[in-house]
Amino acid sequence: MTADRFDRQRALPGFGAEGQFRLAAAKILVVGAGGLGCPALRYLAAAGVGRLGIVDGDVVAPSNLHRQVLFGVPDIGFSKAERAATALQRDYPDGLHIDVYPHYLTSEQALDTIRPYDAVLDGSDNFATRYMVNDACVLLNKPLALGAVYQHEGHVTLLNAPDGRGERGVNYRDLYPKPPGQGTIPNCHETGVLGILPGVIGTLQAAELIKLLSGYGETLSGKLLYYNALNNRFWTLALPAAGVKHRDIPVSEEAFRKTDYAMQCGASPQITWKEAMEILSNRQATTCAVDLREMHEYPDDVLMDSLRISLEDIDRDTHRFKDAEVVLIFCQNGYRSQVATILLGRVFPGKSIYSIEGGTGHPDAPTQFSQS
Amino acid sequence: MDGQQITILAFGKVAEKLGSEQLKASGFEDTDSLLRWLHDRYPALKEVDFSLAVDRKLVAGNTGLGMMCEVALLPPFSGG
Repeated sequence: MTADRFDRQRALPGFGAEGQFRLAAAKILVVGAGGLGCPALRYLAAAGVGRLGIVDGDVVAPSNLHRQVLFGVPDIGFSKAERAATALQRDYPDGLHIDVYPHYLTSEQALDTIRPYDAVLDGSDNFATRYMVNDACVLLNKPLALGAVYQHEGHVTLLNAPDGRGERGVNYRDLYPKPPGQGTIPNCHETGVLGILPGVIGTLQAAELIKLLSGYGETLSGKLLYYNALNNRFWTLALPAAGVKHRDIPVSEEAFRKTDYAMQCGASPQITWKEAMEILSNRQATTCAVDLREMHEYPDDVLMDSLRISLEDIDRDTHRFKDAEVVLIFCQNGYRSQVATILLGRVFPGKSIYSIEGGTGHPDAPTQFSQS
Repeated sequence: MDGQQITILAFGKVAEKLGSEQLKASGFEDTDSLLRWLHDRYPALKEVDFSLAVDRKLVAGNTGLGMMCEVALLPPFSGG
């Protein structure tokens, strides 16, 4: 046989031509071509996986480049799914088929998107997608390589994998039965992340699927592996089969399609500046606007008589909202205001509380913010 | 000290709220009593959901704590 790009993999004892043949026949869907998805896609394609699906509705931004290593400066502003496919197709023109889905996964199309693949790799960056992908994989009996990061820590496991006796391994809900409110756990947009960290975790996710689909080695099914990039600690725990059917997993495909994962995961109600300004222009005594920006963030721009409260105090200074029926919250970019909306919503379940999308940095924000 | 030293490992956001990735405690018979103490001592912990592992095994519900055991507090991560 002539040498090809898989020679050194075939030469590996236990992998061999058989392992390579299995990879060539394998079909993997990668959800999210971001910090986890980019390195995973690179290794899956390089290893010789025959068919890859890439799902991502986002476009490349400059702040992505330190970790989303399939992209470079010329890709800024273009679809991540399309640019990732272009890069991989250019580098591996032989025997790699790529399906591009340049949109986000929704509960309406998730099942049909996942169905043709043998396994899924979750490289998403939010709980709504993570629970949705998990539940879809449980319904469709697909193994799922899960990876996620937080600042300098990450974890990885293989979920819902067949155990050889016809049983399925643990799924995400065995680990975390209920989605946390999204306001409690910020994602990388807000918290910062060491670029190499999703590189390590995404690569480990790809390794799980390569092992599973080629039949080589031992997977992390039933185990959760933590990696701490600050102190180089790897730590593993056992995930015993819970043996319970989770009530929150939709019972049928039809029920799945009707599930609102964003709401389940505590997505905060949002409104646009246009809607907010309309509400404020017919202002009633019972409407209150809250400016969450700190003093160092453009302290001179105050929207009419909005209350200035920092996020830290929002659920302590509750007396200030006592008489309000409608509370509109904004900050500089629309993230903190979502967190505040959730915190305040817990204190006042009866009030209508909204986060204003995009904050003062949004192009539709009132003109007094435009110089900021 | 009564020798029932428990090692508490904290991950992600839980470690932030505790101000440390590792704590020692003693005198707790089960995970419920340990959690009550942690929530009393670190009120900010209420902002975080997390799962528990005892001696490197995920547990659900109240679980007895033996001598020298290790309890891990595991918040979910969403970033990618």
